[in-house]
Amino acid sequence: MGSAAATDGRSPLIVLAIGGAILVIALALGAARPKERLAGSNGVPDPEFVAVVKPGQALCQREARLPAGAGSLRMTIGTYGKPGPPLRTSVQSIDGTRLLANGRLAAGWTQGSVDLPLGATTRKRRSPVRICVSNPSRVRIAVAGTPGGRGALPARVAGRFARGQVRFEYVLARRTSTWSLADRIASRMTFGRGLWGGLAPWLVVILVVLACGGAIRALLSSGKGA
Amino acid sequence: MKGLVQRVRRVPRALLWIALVALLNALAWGILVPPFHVPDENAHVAYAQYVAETGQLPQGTADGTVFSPEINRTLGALGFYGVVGRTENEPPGTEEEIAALNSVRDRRLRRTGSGDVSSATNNPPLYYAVEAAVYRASPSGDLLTRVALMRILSALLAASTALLGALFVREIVPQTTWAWVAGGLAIALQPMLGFIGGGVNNDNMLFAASGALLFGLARIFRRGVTPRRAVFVGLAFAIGALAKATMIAFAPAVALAFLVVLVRAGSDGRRQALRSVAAGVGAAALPIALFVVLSGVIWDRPIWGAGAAPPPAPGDPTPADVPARVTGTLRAQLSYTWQLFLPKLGLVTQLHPVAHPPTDIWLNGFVGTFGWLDYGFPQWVYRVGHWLAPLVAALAALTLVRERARLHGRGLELATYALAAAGLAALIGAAGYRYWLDTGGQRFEQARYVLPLLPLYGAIVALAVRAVGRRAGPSLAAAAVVVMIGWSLYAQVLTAVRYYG
Repeated sequence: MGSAAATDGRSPLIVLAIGGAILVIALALGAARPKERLAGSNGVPDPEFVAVVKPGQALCQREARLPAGAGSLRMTIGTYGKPGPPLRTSVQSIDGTRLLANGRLAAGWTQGSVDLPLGATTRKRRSPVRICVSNPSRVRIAVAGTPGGRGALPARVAGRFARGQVRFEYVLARRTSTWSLADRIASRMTFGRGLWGGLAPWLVVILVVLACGGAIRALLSSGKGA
Repeated sequence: MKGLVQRVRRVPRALLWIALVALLNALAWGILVPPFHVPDENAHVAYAQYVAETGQLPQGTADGTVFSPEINRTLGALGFYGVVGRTENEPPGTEEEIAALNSVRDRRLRRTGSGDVSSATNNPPLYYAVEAAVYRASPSGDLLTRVALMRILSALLAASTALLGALFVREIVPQTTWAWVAGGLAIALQPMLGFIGGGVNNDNMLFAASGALLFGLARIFRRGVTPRRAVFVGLAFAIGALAKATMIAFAPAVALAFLVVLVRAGSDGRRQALRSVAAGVGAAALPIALFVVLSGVIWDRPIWGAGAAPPPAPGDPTPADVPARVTGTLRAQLSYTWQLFLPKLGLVTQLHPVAHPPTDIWLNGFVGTFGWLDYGFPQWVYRVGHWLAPLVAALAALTLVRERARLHGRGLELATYALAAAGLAALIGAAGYRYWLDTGGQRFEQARYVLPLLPLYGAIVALAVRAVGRRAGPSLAAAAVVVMIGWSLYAQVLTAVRYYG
């Protein structure tokens, strides 16, 4: 069973060509599919409920930033088993003089991970901000976060400190495909790259393409009595 | 010199291509993954920096881990602790954040910390000594530039791993070039090798040394023992052991191989075999003995062993949470190790925090879990892995059954490789069990710990593609390479989106 057997027709080449084409098409289609993406979080874990918002009360928390493009807040909210009540969200500048975004979640949602719309999305990142969730219903809700404060003030409910900070995740308003992120990926990849700097994304592409070509070359060279 | 050139010329082209593929791939990973986002990279960089700046080895201190101000401030400016383990967060990248990072880079911050470098503290020094040389040789004093250069060394080690792994596979299936090339490429394109090979981590030297060791053993079994071949094995063992203590797991396999050689030599060749084995043992023992003496007499530090377990985070289990009835016994240790690698037997207490360690930790981890274990493929990719792995194993087994005549007289060689795998499993089980007890049930195991066995994985792939015979075999090898390329590319796209998307 020598290497001559490897030159058995052109079938490996055909397999490589067809397989490669399928691979390229699959990657292209996969990258073109829009997906929901997060713009970030406030980094607060949410192992337990730390604030209870009674009917008519509002929970507010100071945040270092509201990422650009955020279309909704994702929070873990408990309703004590009842259907989710209507909730209102607002994002204000820290001095309270400007309303940056506000939205409303209709009643009927199920307790757990909940997306609260922010209404108009912010084009630019805002910082610092105050995020509020008000409960105009007759049902109390509990909000998850971390007891105490991780170096920041706990949330306030009706003006009084809650048991801890609540977790916010920021969901991007637009579902985006990987292709549409290409520019952003290329520009952000240059951050903190030391030696490579602005060349980083191009180098990655070149190295990956060369590695793929090298793998094919290695396989083909095996048919030449290597 | 002329002899060396001739030797290099005689090396099959495919081997050089395989090494080049692994190098290019690991270099790409090294640029793609943000600094410090390869597991424990902050601790490994801190170790190398401490060696380079002080000429001393790190020591555990009562004050605990304090990296140098330069590393700490850089980690802060990179937003490292806000990103690691939090897939919803990306590294910074706004103009203000770039300015903040640049201001840290421009300041001449102190480059030595307490000397306690966290989980890397008690690692042996060889990998870090070489990385310290790279650090010192850097034309720039900028830490991030130095990390980028240090990652290149790791990429070269990943290329060595692939090259030596391919050489091992070639020894196992020398008759079929396309089969061993497919096996070699399976190693070179393995995403976890590329990912770890793209970062500063002493695992990289361990992987390369393990590849050399298995290749050396295969040569001895197939071509006979000579002093040079035995010294090659001994040195590979010593280099691995001085890079990471895990290499000790291969000691029983090496001992068995040397024993087999001596027994098989017969009375005529025993003297020659004895001399060769003695040279091999000496090549392993001398550097290790020197390290032991220096550790005790000059450095005053533990010889080997992982650093202390990190203190439990709020909400993590504590030692009191481990059920007393399952702790501290040999039976519990064996049960823990069994459950780690094999299906749990019905009546045994579940000891692991994950439901099915063989698939959840090892198979899924081998398919790919990246960052500080904080992101991976969508679930369907792991499901495909669960189908493909038994299929590949079955095809390899089919080849072994079909070609059993060739296995005649190779039983002890196969037993040696099996013992290498069993030794590694036992060591991981022992270390994991200790960690599990100390931390109250936290998980220690990561799939990268089995990557020293990559040459065996390459051999299994090579045997599998041979199963369909010489007509269809090259096509199956080509299909396998396409799958490997797709697997690697997908992992890299996933990484780009996770950190920058």
